[in-house]
Amino acid sequence: MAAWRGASEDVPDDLLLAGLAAGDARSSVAFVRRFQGAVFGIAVAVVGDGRIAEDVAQQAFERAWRHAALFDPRRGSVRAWLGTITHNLAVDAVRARPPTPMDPHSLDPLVAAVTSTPEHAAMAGESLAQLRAAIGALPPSQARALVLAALRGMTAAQVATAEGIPVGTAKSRIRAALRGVRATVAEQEADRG
Amino acid sequence: MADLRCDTCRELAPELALGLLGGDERAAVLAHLQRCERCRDDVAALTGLHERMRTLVPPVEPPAGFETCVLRRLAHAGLPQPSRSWARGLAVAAAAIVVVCATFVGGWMAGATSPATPASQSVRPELLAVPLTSGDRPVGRLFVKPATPSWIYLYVDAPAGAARLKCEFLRHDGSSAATAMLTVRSGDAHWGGPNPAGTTDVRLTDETGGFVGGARLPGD
Repeated sequence: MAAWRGASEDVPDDLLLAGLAAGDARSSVAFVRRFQGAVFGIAVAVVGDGRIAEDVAQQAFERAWRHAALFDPRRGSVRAWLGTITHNLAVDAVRARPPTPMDPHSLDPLVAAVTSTPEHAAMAGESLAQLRAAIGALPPSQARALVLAALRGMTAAQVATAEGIPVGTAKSRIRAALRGVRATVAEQEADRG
Repeated sequence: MADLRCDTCRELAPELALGLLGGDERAAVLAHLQRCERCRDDVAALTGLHERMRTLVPPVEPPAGFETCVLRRLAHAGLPQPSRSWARGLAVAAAAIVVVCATFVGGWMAGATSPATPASQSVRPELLAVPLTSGDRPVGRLFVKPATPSWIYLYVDAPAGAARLKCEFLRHDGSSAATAMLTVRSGDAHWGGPNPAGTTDVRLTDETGGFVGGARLPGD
């Protein structure tokens, strides 16, 4: 009977999560090491403040451990699941704080990071590269609104304030942006057959 | 509240998928989704896009000591500590961290937070995987970490209509070491947990007792 053996860097994400859930020390360490950059990156992207982001990221790992049994490997990746946990905690942290003015240029690096660049395209898998390209193909105003809403967790009203536009316009941009990305991705998938 | 029309639901779906919808609008959309599969699929697709977007956020290296803090937090929350042999095996490499962390979680943190383990003390690979099969047909996969504390993780395709599966952990003589009930979601089920002592085979059945799949644990 064929059996797979591997060092921790070869272990699939869902297996590490199962090990974390089962209280396996090696898996727990490997899990944290594998995902700490991604988790902290999302937390920083949403909350901005490094100290708050660190607390959010720690909470995310604790929540992942507590709810590991709820993860369904057939419905998505561990990375995406953990990203959702982190994002939700980060958004809660932001909304619990008084609103602070945002430098309009502070968003530029994040927008650039999630849209297509040769470096990122080479690093990402084909599917994610196409997603980057789809976001990059949006009109800049829509891409900014989408990043603010989807990654910064801002409401339409907050996007409107940050961008200096009416709330209705902010909603239209957010809706059109996500629909546009979905249409582009669907076209790409259809082309791939 | 009157049911939404599909076109209104589609208009609001992006905001729902992004977690921006609240109050009455959210309630109305959710009520509509309970009755409309097409809109449900639409929201699911948009939600999936949102999840994938998060994976585009570039990773950022956390501050020094972050890993230690996370593991300490998990230990305080009740993450079990490993066997003594584990801690002893890695204690040398982690001596410096022991000084900082021993107060909190003892030997486990000593090993867990070691940035580098000497080659002579490295622990050999110990994760095994085998297919779960029904006849010759693969229906899932089973993973085992045999070293103490041993644990098992498995996922399996469920037969159409099955809501729950019974998973029996069998000893060499066919007696049952333990039983677990798995809930089927979207056509499949999974389970993870400590490996019941003495388990050599795993057998899954549906509510009617019909055989779904099984596997012999690797190494047995």
